[in-house]
Amino acid sequence: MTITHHPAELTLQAYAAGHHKRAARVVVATHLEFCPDCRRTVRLCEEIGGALLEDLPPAEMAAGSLDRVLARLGPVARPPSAAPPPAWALASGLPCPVTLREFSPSRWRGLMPGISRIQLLPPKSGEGSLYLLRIAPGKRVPVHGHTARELTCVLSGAYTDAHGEFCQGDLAESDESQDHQPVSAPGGDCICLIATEAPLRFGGSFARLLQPLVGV
Amino acid sequence: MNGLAPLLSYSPPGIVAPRPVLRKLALAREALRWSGLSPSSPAQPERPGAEFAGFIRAIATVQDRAAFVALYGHFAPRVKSYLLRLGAGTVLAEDLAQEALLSVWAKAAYFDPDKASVSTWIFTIARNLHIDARRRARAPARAAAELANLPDAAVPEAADMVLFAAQQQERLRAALVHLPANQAEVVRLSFFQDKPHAEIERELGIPLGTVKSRLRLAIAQLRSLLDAPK
Repeated sequence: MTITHHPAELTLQAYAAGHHKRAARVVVATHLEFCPDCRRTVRLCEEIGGALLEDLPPAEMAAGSLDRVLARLGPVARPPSAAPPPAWALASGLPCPVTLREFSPSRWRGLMPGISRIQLLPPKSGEGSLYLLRIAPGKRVPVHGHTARELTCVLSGAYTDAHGEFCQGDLAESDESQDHQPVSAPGGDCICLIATEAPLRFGGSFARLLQPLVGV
Repeated sequence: MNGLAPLLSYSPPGIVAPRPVLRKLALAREALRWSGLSPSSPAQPERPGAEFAGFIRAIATVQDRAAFVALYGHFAPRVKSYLLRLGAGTVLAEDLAQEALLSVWAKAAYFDPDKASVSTWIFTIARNLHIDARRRARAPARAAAELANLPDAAVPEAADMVLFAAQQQERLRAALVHLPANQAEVVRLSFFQDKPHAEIERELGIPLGTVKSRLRLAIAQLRSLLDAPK
């Protein structure tokens, strides 16, 4: 698999430093499952974090700290011999990525004909909104922009917008300055994992009416 | 019966370590440094990065408490320092530093010296604990399940791989020292303050574009260093 669209290097650095909210973190982690290049960059950034940690002036631990920790040492965990099976499937034959195992998804809910969604983290979570979007083949999504940064990772199928074609594993990063109108590729459903930090802003007046219903 | 069981299951930790003598020396050095008795503690000697990996293996294989004490002495105060820099209060920083070292013990068998040096592994543990704590603060009612620290398949490591990860870390630390001051400052802030890049802009009074380009330059420089032929 060839990944053509990657997060910005500084997005990966912020991931390694732990700055992203949970929704964005899950999307970046999902891209990392697909992308060895970005895994290497994150590893480099984590190594920088480790080197900086090593050089920090030590802080004084509380009195009795070590004794308390020693008293709490339990068994050393054994790594499982095999990875556990996927917890759930995105579609038949499409197991959820490892990064989504912790979620217990609800059912797909229709947003408009040909487009449905599963909300994984609600906008009110304080951790960004995280959802799966399923777009029927050859479907045009209404023009929209974003009031904040949006991260999209394609899990299956493909879509095209002004920035190119996005296939499985690709990550699209957009900000408030960009309006886009994705069109899903023919052949199969396009399923995307999306994190937004603020509601979408739809361009057309009809689409704007949908805004309260969509609520993403 | 009860008295025999521990004897039967006990094997001296030195047997499994690759270089028992060096390891014991390092243990003693760490224990001294930690206790504040070492006369040379301010003048940091060479970092026993590969030794740390040996300590973790000793925990994983024989639950070596002395190795744990050495790791604790070195890393707990640094992890606490890191958490304080991220804005955690003294109590939280202490608690999370203790939790981080408890994780080092409990997850020792998951440590993969091919993937990361010990300080990097502990950095990611501390970072993830802080992420969890921050999330609990934002949404106290939510369950604290976390995706990070996904268990990796346990792969036996050759000794030269251990050395490699440790050497890489040494090179990186040396390179950080030689970064231009303005780049080094941005790199430090980008890791040790719980702030998006835009807030570093405010803090340093330089434009966001400059923050980003300095950070990118620094990462590129460090990357080229690690990619260079060994």
